[in-house]
Amino acid sequence: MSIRIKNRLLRFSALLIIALIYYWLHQQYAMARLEPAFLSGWLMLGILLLLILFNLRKKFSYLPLGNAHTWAQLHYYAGMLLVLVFLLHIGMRYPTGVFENLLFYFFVLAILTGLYGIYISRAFPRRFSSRGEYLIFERMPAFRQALREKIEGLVSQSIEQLHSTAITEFYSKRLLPVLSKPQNFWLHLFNSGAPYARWDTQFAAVYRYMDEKEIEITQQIKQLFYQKLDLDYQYANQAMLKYWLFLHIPISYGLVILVLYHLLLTYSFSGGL
Amino acid sequence: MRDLQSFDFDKSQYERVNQKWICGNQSTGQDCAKGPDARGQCRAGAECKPYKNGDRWECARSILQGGKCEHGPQGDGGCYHRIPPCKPIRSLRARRGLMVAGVGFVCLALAALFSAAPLRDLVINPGSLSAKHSAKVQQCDSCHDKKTANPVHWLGLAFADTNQTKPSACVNCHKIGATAMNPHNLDGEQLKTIKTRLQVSLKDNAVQRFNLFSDAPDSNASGKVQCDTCHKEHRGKHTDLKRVENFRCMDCHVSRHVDFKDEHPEFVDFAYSRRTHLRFDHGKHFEKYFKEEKVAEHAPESCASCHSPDNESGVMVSRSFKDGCMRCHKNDTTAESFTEKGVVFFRLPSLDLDTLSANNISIGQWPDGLEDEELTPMMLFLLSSNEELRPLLEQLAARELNLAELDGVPPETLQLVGKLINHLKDLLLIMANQSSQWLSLVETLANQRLDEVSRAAVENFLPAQQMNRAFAIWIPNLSIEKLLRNRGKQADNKLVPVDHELLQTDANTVRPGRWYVQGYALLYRPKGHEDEMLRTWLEVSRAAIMNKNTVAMELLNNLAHEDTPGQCMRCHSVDNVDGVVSLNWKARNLPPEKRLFTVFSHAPHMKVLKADQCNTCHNLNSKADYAGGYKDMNPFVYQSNFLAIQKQTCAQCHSASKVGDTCVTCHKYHLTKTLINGDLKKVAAR
Repeated sequence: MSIRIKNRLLRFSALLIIALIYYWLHQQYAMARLEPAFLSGWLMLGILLLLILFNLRKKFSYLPLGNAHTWAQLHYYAGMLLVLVFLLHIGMRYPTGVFENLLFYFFVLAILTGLYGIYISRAFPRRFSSRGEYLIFERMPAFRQALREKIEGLVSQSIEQLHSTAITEFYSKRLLPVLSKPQNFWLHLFNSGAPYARWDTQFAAVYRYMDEKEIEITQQIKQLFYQKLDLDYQYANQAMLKYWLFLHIPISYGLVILVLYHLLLTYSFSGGL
Repeated sequence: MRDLQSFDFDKSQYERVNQKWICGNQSTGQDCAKGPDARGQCRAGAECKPYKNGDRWECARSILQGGKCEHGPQGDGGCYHRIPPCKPIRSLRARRGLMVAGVGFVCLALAALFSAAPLRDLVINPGSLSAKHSAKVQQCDSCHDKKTANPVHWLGLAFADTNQTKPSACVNCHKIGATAMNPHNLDGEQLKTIKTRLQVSLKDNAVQRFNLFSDAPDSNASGKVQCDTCHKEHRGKHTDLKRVENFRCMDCHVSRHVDFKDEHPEFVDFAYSRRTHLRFDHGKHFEKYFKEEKVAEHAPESCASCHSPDNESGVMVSRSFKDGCMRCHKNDTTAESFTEKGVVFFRLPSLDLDTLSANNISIGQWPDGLEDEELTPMMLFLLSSNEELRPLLEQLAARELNLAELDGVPPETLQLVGKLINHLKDLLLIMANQSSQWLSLVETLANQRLDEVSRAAVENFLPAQQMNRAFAIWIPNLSIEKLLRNRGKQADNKLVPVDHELLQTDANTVRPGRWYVQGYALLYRPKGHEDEMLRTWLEVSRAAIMNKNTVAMELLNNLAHEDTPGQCMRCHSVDNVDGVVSLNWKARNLPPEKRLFTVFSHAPHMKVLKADQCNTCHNLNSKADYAGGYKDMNPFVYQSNFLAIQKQTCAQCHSASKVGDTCVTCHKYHLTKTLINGDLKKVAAR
């Protein structure tokens, strides 16, 4: 068993123990004629603020507040504990009020996007070494442009040296429209091999109309074009690693605002602090 | 693909992803190295800023941008390579920040919108009220503090130290009383009584349970229980507010009974915690009487022959006397089988007239020929209307004094005896005249106004004709003596000879419900079951006992004796619990709402059992001394005809997976005031 798996088991065990302790406290609270929703509510708010601190921690990276990995792990496991406390807080039942529903859906969305974030942050990095090299996301347009220029260089070469129109025609009709932008975003995201298979067929079809020298240049073009496909694959996966936060973070902050409003309503209508 | 990206120092520039703005040409891969400024303005210009080396301008383009250019700077030091201008765009991080702000703003706007009057009650309502409440309650502030109607006050209310859910909001409609928030609605003393009883009966299970948050086990009634501790509102119209989870009870109840089958204590004497109101020995009837040939045709076939569930109240009801018992006990209530057919209500006592005369105590005429007769309990009772005579009456009731032998009795007592006899004569006149004084006297003794049936029974107590005839024979000068006493004169003591022939009646010829004279006594022959006369005097004596009349018990004991004709109390038991005397005219069929702690109802149980399956729960205990339980008035010292029901019997169906085993399935939390006062004394008496 690898150290990583061992550590993960250890963390899960700690989470389970904490969850069981909280469940016991929750029962004790209820048995003491107290409303356990107050206990779980405050705990949820505490966990929620801890989770948000992870985002703030990234803004203050110059402060010695522990490394990002530790914070990320704390964020993941606290988020999972939050799910349990949330279920106990709502009494395992679907809320019936309008505002309660809104709060419920914000929470569920925050949890779902968070869980998806955990999944992709663990699954996607492995993909970056499976197709091509790991590239800095912001530089990808430049790399795409560089590949395009190289391909265009080879096409020019084929005109000058071979007076071939087959390569030019193939480039202008088939390759040029897809070179300027990322393609097959969703297929790459689902790790599909379909884009590669489709272009295999396209290149194989065009070879039949070429002589050996044209095929040689076309193979070089194919190699560069497949680099573009790999680049698109890297782009799709890296983009998702960034874009999911466009849901998770705004929803989380919105959730905090709604939770504070919920807190105000709860205490003003049911009793003093 | 290893040649797209290089991280060499001269081939890889630093990416500042934290910056708000990025070059607008980045998406085409032609972004400039300078990038926009902090305000998002394009800084496009020359690719480099040439420097002067001696008299020559040198290119200063960085290696990252391709190094020194071929042409070099212009003659005036300008750069030939111009950067195409762009329209800078926000970085991903900046766009995400904008989205956070946008969502935050929307949430704040929603919160403000929800607080506004038109939507408030609809939106912030955490859920509709239960069906009955939602039909009556329209506004939040019907239950919550009035200030909650204005959001301006919400923050203040949130930090107030008072509970804004007004308990009065519940008890305005649900009349539970001043102790509504006390545990079980009991006051401190009542709770102590219950607690003591539980600690005694459940001592094996009374293990103190640790609870981190609770102070309840020692708090008794000082701890208040808010309505919403158990009744959770705002959970939809179909919510059952009476459904309470078991753990709600566990705070105060130190024994853990979350699971009925394994954790609930064994039943102690369920459901026979006291003797039955009606004395009916199931053991003897089934094992002896019903087997006798002469009653075989009347014998019931099963329990259902006499008992059936009442679907409305849920209790098991028994057949009436008329439909059931009378088949065999027809003659018992009319004294048919008795030698003496009537109840002796009045009898003149034997009197030591010589001693009274020797002590100059005037009582007037007294019939001759009385042989060791004593005052009847009824006469003792009626004479007790004179408070002064009560000590003497107590002596007579206790047989400590005999009116026939007054020799040696202290003069003061003899004076009282004289007053007693004269008071007796006054009483006879009141009765004979049927005056309003008679009813008033009885109601004074009972210390209550009698109901109409009882008043009629008292007013028709004695037929005037028979009484006047008897009194004229016994004491001819009864009225004259009264006149003399009123004028302060004394009548001479004198024994009156009596024609005994006139005082004999053949009791066998007296019809039930009639009075008759037998010697110096007046007797009443009971008319049968539900005799108003006997019932009225039993109730009057009971009421007088409660009014601390010390001789009334003698009358009750006399009328309730099983050898007294009528035999009312042969079946109808008399209870005396802590001085509270009650006559049990009906079988104890408590509907669920009148039970103290439990809510058992036979009706639903009978739906799953066949008529002959009563023995699923009720099994005869043939060894029990059932009759022994009725020797005195304590209903809790007894042996039941039936073996106690075992918890296991109930647990066959009452589990979480079958018909439910929550505490409130069988137990009540709210104890009504009327039940508490009477029943708690019974609980204590056990």
